[in-house]
Amino acid sequence: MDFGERFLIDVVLDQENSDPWGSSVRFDTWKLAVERELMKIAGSKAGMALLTSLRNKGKFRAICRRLLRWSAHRTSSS
Amino acid sequence: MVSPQNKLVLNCGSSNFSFAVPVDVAVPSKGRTYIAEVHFDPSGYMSGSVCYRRRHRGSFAFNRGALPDEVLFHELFHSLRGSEAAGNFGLNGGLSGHDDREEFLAVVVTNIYISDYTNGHRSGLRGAHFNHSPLDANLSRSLTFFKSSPQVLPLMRAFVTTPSMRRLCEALCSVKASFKPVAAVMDRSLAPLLEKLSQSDQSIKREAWMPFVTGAARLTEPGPPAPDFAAGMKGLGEELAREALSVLSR
Repeated sequence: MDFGERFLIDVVLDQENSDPWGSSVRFDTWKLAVERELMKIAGSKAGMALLTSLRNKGKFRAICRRLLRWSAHRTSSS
Repeated sequence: MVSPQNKLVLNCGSSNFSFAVPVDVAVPSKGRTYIAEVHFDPSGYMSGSVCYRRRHRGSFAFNRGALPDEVLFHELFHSLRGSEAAGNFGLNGGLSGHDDREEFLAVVVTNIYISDYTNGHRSGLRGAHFNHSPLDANLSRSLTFFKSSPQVLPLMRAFVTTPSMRRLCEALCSVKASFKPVAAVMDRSLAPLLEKLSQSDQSIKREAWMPFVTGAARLTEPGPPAPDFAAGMKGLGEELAREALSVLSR
């Protein structure tokens, strides 16, 4: 079970925007890195308080990254 | 995958500045509702990255609250605030380093997360929003923090009495941490002491000279990474070489 399923917070991709610094990091790599940081936050009491507040608000927040390059890579390879 | 639209946008990691677009309408996406979006790239805050080097994240003077999880926590707090951020306003005086109310609150709550004893890997308390400088040692406790400025107490009182923040504040009160101004302001028995600290000599003095200190610090703040000049020149060189070869081969 990944972080999003456990904490009901989605990690989604915004393909419409570009990465302003031109990073060529793949989406999966980025997603794993973000989930690692989210797990660190969830590992502390204050962090869990924030995540619980987000969840209790009944609204889901999307954690997105601008990744036109990834999108272009996927388009060219498909 | 459908991207959310008309939402609160927070941009930090990939461009190293945050901005907020207040939103009233939630947009259904994937059968769920998104009203906030955090733009975050952890690699920008990891040692070895260009951003890390250019912004001197290895230095104690510029690394407070700059670990990837701390930055993400900060941005998630903005996300939680959501519509509460609509009445945001700029700060000055002793809090001029925090830019505005929302950034001040985000820095304070992130400092609670940083000082949480259950948080094993942490940088240190952050003193200002515009950079990642350390919080002064004599302001880094739950009570002494109120000597930062006379503005701190009313801002914190407004924060803990916001209905949508009540649960978060209660949860933060139960956190074992060295820095808990939220718990201090929620403890009614401490109100007279906080009033006194808020109007202390140090608080009044900071209100007068912090704008100058902050202004000078902004001038010396490390800038964002410059474009990769070497890579650009290499590409240009290759283009010229190809052009020269094509001319020679005619």
